[in-house]
Amino acid sequence: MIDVFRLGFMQRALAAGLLIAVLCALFSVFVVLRRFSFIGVGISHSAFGGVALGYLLGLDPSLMAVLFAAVVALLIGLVKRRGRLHEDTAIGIFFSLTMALGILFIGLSGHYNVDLFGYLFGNILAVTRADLITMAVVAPVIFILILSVFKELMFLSFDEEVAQASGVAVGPVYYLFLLAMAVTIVIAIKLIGIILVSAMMVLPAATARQMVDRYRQLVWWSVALAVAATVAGLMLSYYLDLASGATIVLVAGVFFFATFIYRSLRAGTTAEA
Amino acid sequence: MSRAVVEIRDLRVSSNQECILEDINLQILEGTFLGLIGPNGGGKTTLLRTILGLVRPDQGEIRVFGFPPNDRRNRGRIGYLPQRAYADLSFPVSAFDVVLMGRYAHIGIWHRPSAEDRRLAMDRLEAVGMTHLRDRPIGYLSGGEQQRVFIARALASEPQLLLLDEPTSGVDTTAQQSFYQLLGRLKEEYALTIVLVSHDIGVVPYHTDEVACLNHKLHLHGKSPDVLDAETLGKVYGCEVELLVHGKIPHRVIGEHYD
Repeated sequence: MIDVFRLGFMQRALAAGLLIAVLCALFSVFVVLRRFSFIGVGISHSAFGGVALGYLLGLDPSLMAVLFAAVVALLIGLVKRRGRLHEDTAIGIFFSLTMALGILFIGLSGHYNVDLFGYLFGNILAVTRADLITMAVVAPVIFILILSVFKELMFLSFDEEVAQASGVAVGPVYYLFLLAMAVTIVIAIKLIGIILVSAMMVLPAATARQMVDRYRQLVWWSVALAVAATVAGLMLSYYLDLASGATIVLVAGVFFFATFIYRSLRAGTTAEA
Repeated sequence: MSRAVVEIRDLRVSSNQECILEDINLQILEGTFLGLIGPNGGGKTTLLRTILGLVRPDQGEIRVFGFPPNDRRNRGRIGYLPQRAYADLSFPVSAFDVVLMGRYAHIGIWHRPSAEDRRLAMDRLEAVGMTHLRDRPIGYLSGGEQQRVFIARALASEPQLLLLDEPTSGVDTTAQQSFYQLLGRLKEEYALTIVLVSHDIGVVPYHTDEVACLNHKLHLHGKSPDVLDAETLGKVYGCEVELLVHGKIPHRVIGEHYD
């Protein structure tokens, strides 16, 4: 069973998958606690515009994706904190506009690139040695950044008003979070794809939340679930010849429904007792 | 004589081109327990948020401990309990961890809470009588218990000024009574200056030293028992009020709008 990970590309996919799983799980905790599930959708889809522009201009698509995702992430944050619009309105506006730009850029470049579908749906074969090196450098940096403001993020997720009044640098912490999220999403796109990456920023913590009532446990459980879903999903996708991203997300979805049903049943028996 | 903790001169605050506060002049001396009353939408919360530096005034001057509200030197000196709607009460966090959050600004990013921070949080939980529920998730506590935990969090930053926004809303009458007693005790124990916002004009004057009536402008500011008469309240609330006077302080207000 472990033989599949003797293959070079599977080793790279696994290594990349584990890095991504840990990061996505960490973000999913705040996404679920702050209830902005659609921020991942907004940021990831805006990366599409960047990828398309990269192909059009012959620049590195991933780099352009980071640029687009980061700008949109900051704009969403800015509108939320300064403007009169709700976060979800800002997300709806920016992600559809960048998608539209992406479609325009593809049309202009004149040919539909196969790699483009890799970006949209994820491809375990797409993870090159260079990608892995980039991930191995960037992932720890993001991890440490988020950990360094972990308690501040918890405070502002719980009670932003008091966090700000008590002197926590709510604005900078929030923008740092959004930027780190944008970079993480672009990294994860290689494996999971633009369309589905946001699922990995919701499902792990949504599943863990069914089982625990403390945020520290929530983090550990989310990471464990995301890692399990990634490993199982990669293996299944290899043996059954399925899209890697979709399989990983579906395994995470199975985890969610399993805990959901378990919890519902347990709640039922407790009520009867 | 005691020094002024809050000094406000000619303050004017507006939001979305609408003027919310105007001509506000207010001085709050150290050790005062000030009740800030007035109708909903009268600007009470905005005044608190201006003192906290969360709202920027259009004009006028505001000094807290002699500094502008946002000044770094004021960090931790103001404890704040906002209206209940702000916090996410389904959040997976224990009562103790909520109180510990009051230390975060002091601890700073990257660092973890020290043994001393934990001791202080524990001490404040004890001060509000919540030690036995320290491990309970915040959502599993009653409204009154949650309120005590939030007071403990506000106290955890070792403030000298405590700002409370409608702290007794959603708390039953018996719990309210003991809540005010608790506030009185905490005020002495931690040498606090307290500003309490409420629309409950029947209760606040009993428990505070001074009362200020706020409806867009500040109408009256004086010693609690002397402040409230029908004429003043009529001005503040913009409606005719009849007071049933019981002792020196009205204990019920019946009013009818005719605007």
